Amino acid sequence: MILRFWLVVLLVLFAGPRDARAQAKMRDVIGPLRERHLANGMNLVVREDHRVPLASLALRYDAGEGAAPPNLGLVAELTTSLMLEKTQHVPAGDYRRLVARAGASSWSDTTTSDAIVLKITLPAARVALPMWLWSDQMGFFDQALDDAELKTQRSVLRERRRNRLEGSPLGRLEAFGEQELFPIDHPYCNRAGELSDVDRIDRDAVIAFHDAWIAPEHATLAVVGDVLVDDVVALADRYFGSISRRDVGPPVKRPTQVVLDGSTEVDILANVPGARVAIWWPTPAFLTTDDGRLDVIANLLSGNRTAWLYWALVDEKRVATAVHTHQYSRALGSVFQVLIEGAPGKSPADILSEFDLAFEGLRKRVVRPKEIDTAVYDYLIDKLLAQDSAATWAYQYTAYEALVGTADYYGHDIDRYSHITPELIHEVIDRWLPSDRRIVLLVTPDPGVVSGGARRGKHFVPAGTP
Amino acid sequence: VSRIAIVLVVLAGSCAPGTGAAPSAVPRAIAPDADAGPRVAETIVKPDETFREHAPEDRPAAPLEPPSVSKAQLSNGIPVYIVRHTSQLCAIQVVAAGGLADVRPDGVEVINLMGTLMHVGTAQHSSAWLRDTYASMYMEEPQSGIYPDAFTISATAPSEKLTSAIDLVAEVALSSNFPAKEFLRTAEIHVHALERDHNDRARLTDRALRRLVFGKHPYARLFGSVKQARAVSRAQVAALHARLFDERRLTIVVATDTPAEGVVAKLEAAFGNLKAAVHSAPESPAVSPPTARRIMVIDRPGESLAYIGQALPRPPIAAPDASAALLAFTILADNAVGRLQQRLRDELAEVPWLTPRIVRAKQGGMFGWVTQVPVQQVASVLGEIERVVRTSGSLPPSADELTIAQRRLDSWVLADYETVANTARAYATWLAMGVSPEDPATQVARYDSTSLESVGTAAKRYLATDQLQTVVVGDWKALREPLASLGWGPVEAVDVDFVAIPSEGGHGVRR
Repeated sequence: MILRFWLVVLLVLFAGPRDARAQAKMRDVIGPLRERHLANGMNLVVREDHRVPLASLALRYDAGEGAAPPNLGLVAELTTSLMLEKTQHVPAGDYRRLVARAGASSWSDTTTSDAIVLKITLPAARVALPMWLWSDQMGFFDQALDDAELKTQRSVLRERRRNRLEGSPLGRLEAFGEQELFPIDHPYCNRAGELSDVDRIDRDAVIAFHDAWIAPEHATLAVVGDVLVDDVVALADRYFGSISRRDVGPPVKRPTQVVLDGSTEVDILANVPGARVAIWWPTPAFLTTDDGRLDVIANLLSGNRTAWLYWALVDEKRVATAVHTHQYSRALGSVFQVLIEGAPGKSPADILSEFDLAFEGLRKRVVRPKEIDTAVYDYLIDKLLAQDSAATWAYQYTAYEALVGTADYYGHDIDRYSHITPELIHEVIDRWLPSDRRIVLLVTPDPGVVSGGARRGKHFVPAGTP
Repeated sequence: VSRIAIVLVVLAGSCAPGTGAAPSAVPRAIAPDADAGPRVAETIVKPDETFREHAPEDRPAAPLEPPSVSKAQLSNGIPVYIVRHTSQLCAIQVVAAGGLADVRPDGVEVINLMGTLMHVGTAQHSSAWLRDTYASMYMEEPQSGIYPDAFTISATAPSEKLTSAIDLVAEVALSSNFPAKEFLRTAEIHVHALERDHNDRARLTDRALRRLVFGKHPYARLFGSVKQARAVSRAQVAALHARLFDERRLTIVVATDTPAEGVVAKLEAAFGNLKAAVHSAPESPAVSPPTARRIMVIDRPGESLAYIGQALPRPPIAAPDASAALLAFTILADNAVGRLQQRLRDELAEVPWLTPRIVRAKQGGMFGWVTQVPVQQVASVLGEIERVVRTSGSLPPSADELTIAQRRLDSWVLADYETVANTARAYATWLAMGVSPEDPATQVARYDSTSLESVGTAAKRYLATDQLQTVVVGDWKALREPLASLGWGPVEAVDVDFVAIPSEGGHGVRR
């Protein structure tokens, strides 16, 4: 397998004349990456790609719900909604109308615990429009904020939150897990809380959040598409360059790596057809070396080619119908998640017991290098294919720039998936997925329980307890 | 340097800029110490510049230059289309006409299962060998696609691997042998996935809407019951495969930077030996649009939220007023600025989101939308939607609405050509619907030349509330009275397998 892999490398590196022509043609239409830093602290990343007359833009503010005060969960999302609705020079509702009128094929706003990201893809000739809109949000928001709009957007946000919590039988599972996994002062400790939390967010809270975080020094703009670098730099200077840096709010405290001192088992009731068990471990942050290795381990446990855990629980023991494993990577600390869907008639305790037996066996399993290669492929193939899209690059550049200080990080990101040996797999499993320091969510079916699931109780077992 | 990094950086080529020195992976905006309290902002912005007062000038978008398409025919008659696309990747689509029309109404799981089983082994190679080979080439695993008018096998691969990729896609398409050993296991996994679909409100809604809009037409088939899936035999799957992958039914699309002659030669080597059997594709009949409004509840006891889906019949893809109808629907239900979204989401804040659902097909499709609201708001939301739809039939679109709709649709055409995979898929989809490959190139012009009058006429014709089909997935007990109060006629209540729930006021439907 490794030999074949090297052959591929050689073929790719020393391809024939046709491929050389193709490479040259690509260089004709796709320019190099350019990074600029505006005087006010805002980062700008531009790359020309002249294949189709489109441009994709992404603006990332390095502040999500994790930056909100502990009692004001959802303030980041509410602030984003309000910015998109109305600013000083953009009347209510015009944001959507203008970008639609500009012929945008897609646009979105995403608020996570780590960041607020605005994205748009539109005809390249109209690339100035999102810059004008987004700069108005950055510099001219407070003046346009009125109580009626705040009330409306609070109502919309409440319903959106209700959709997330009650829209699926286990909509609250993530919140239950985060409450147990992260300490109360951790930015990820269930900041996006209950519906009633929305009502606590008043005008002052929104303005304080905006002043602190929707600021040039926390922003990265990436533009990829049928544009000229100099034109984009000039537009960015015009629209964003005149907005002063704020340097107001307190920086988010970077938490130390979460280390559990035992295992917590949480009993949950949910309107699901069969029992389920979720096992969570705190793991290192996004873009760290072990974060990449845990991506690969997730694919060894239940990937398309290698699926040790799936084979054990579904095929051999027949206690489950599906097994999902995932390294949920985040800027301030990740979570390795296993979700097991139980076979009919199996209780959460049955499933957990078989999981523990199987997982102990996997700790000693002989790992073949070929299994690692295919697990790496499973993880990377989608990432590779997505590189054909300007929108993917724009988003990726903002994340790299914000998290590691340079957009030019793709090679290093990918390099995390190399040199993974069988010994490293065992080391990383032992280091990050211990059997006595974890969160276990035991879900019992109950058709009468509230939508989204309900927590019934929990118990804690200190690490090292036999 | 890592072997993988070399492969991927080279494959991404100029897309992946050279890598600089590795900085530490520490989030930069996060300070190590947070002792400093909040500080007051000084002057936040400079005085307004005049350019801020108005949106930037609305510059004309550069005209789309559709990619050049070379048409050829293999020696056995299979038409092939080579679409020129500059990329380090190439994409292949093998389109087999038919599919849904080839199975009985209760046999949709035969095609669904075939779509999964085609990837677990061929006459030449095991599933493990195939998967190892994809991985060694960094090629996407071939994917199955089930469309109203066709079944497809597709894959994307590095350009340098075009020949091998064509060979592998051909092997999967033509030589899948559904090994008995894999059949049982894969069928079991498929059944579990189907059980999950029966608990997925969005999937249930799509399935029910298709039944209401398309009736007994093959387009109504999306997924079947667990019982139907368990009854599928290996022989049924193999027989369907033999019928579909017949040279009379196939069309191949390749999007690539490689010159067309070379690609055709490779396709000839991979597909040219396929001989015709007797299986020309059955022609799907014309869709008979529903003649009356219907409302159906799929019961999910105890749930606090209800998932709502509504749909109207859409004209065939080649209908003279197809573009006008799509523009009219975009004005009504565009995700961003549709009349429904503006009224229900933006003005009344009654729904947190409202998303369009579209099915396009040769013989007629579906215009629809979905949303999710608390059970107690379902009736008022449906009532408001009905008012907006009814008004859309009588209130002509404004020039501004039409411009926005035209630009929205133009942009989707443009997006079809952005990536090599999108390009191949777009052409495959058009060809599957019987549309000429020259047609997509004129699509933008057709949208842009559609008049206000024709859009208004199409709105009256296709956005008629007396044909509105409604599905609500939610707690029937809580929904029964509010829905009856709408006065839309009998409300049909069914379980997730479409078995009628006999109850007072409920009118069951047969499976």
